[in-house]
Amino acid sequence: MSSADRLEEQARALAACTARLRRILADLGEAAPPWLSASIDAHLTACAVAAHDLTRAAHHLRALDEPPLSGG
Amino acid sequence: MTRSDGSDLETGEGEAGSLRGAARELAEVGVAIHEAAAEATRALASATRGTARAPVRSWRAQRALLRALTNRRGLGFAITGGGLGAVTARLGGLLGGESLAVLVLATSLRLRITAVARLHPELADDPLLRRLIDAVAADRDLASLRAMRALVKDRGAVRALSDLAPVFGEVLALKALLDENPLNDRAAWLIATGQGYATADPITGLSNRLVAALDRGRGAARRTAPKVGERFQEHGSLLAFLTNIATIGTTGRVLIQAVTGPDGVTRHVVQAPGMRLGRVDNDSPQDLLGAFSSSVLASSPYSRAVAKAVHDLGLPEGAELALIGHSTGGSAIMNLVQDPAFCARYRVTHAVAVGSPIDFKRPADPRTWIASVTNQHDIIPTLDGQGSGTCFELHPDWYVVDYRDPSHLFPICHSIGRYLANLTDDLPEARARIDAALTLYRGPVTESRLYRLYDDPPAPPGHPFLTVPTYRRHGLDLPITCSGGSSVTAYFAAEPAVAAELLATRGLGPAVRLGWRGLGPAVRLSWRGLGSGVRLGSPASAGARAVVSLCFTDHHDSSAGPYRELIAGLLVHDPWRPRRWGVWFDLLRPPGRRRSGTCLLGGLTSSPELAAAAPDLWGYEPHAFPLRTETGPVVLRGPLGPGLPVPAPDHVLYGYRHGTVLRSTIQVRGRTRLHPAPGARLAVAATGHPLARLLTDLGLHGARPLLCLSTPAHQTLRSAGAPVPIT
Repeated sequence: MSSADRLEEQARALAACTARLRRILADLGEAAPPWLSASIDAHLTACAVAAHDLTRAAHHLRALDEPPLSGG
Repeated sequence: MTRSDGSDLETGEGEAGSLRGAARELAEVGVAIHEAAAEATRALASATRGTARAPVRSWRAQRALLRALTNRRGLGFAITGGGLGAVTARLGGLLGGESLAVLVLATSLRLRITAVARLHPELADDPLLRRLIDAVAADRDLASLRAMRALVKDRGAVRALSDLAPVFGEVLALKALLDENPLNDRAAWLIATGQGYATADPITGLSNRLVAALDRGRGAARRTAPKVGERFQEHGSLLAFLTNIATIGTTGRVLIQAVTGPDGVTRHVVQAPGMRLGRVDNDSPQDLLGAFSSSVLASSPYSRAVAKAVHDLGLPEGAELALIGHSTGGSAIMNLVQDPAFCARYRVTHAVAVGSPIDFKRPADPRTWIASVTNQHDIIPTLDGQGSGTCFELHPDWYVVDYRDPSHLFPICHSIGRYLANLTDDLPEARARIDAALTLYRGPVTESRLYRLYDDPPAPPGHPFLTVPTYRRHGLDLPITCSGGSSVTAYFAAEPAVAAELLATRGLGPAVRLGWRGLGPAVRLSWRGLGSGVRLGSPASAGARAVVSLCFTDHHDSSAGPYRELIAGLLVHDPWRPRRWGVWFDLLRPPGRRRSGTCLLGGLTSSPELAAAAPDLWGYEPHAFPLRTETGPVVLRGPLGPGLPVPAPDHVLYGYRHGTVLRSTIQVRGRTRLHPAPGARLAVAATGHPLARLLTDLGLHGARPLLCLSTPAHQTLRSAGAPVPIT
């Protein structure tokens, strides 16, 4: 498995984290402390951004792994 | 895992359980994010290696990865893993750049605190505690410090610590995760994720293993007798074993009892107390360093010492054992539980730890039944990072009693007495459950053995000074060893003519003298009591004073029993080759090579056996005398005056028996002081006692010593005399 593949896998794991964070908040329901919703929102937004960043980086890594074109 | 706080981690009953479950999931999310960051860091390192091959594409990949690893809206400052990761992560920590993983873990810790607060309303209702927790969670260092100071000022350090105890680990981990100190990040991570024992102090980052490594030792155990009035329980039960631990106290000892169970089989129960108060590091493994090492390390001097105590029982292989420990003792017994060699030799059926940080101990034998009893306000069990707020199922197969006690002041709530009272009065179900598990150990106690534990095997008493071959003569073990005593030796100037006469009758001489007229202005001493003109002398100094020594000794612990004695003697030159000046240097030589010495004139002894044996053994005749008080034929009264530390004075003694000179030695070890200006005077009673007459003849009645040597605590080794030809 190449670096790009592994990075894409991690990007998918981060995307799964966003879903998991939503579920954590939903499962707690009324038991959730008032401050938790804002914190979870911030975390899942960050996870989504991080997943996007990793996907983009994986794309560049894949390009790096391809055979060099003339002029690099 | 069963918790006695009303929540169950498996089913998530109750709000606290739900919050803990959410906290655990958040911790898992944090770990997943951390793994993604680590993979991105590895990819960055890999991309840099492609620079030469495809510089433009490599640069683009590196830029994308760097952005992913430093994007404040995404992973945050998240470079981690490997050498590059370690350096930049610390740099990021110093700059206050948090990663997304850390922020998620901080949320997890805040949820753990909230869960505990639901069970401890006093935490949520307390404005000072809330202020502190909120400031820590918001990473406001100054506000945290002020809140902590306000808390301590309001209720004192002990009370503040007690109030904070249920969330102590979480608050420390939260602080460590968010602060700028990179040294404590690893410990905070371990606490927040429950992946292992907190490796460092969460505040300073000082490595726990570094501190624990200071506690060195092979561990040793020696049988010892109970103290006067110490009695142990005679029927096995949880409360009985804990009562025994309370009876032993933190005195560096453990108790092992043999109990005959309902099936008629005799098994053994090890009962290990907690830390011994006092010095940080003493000769026992039950000290502060021992507490650290027992908790942090898999094997410690304490656990090795307990193992040696068990080996001393001589049990057959496979013998069944139950281990009960409080505080550090609980950590130590759990080290044995996780020791494969110990568990291969013995069958550890049960282990009960009370008030101990044992969350990360792993039993070597899965059949061992383990119970942990902790008070939620007791800080000690939380020192491994997991306290009442933990959200992890570290040991689903253990029986865990984590309870609340309304009178929760630390350190009282950590005491064995408090745990005993709680188990007796407040936790009947838990007690019954543990007692049921210990059924095989609930029977009459057939034997109780106490062991004193040491970091290293203790040297034999007096080793190496007093450990010598011995033989028996005249009903005495020779050489006579004294492992505890004290002495004062006083030196007097005496009548030279009388001294010469005494020496002549003993075949010895000449006497060492003071005040040699021919010496001129050479070495000149001005000791009080002699006025001016006292000079070191030679054997030929006509009219010069002789030197008498009186050695008052109290041997309260000797191989000849306790006794007191007074030895009177005259300082004499080398019997074979008297030297004018050499005598003073010779007197400083070790006794084995010394020729000059003290000619024994007489003495007193409180030991009739010694008085009877002395003529044959040492060539003098001491008189048996009680010597119990200051009244007697010869008494030194008055202050010795200021003293200077000097080496302990060994003695070479010359006695005389049936025409033969007997040479013997008394070697002395102890802290000695030389008193150059003693204020004491010798009182010689006019009783007609032979020794009194002798000293009076020598002109010593009312005399002030030239100098004195005092040794308040000494060990001595006194040999029998050996015949020496001197003519």
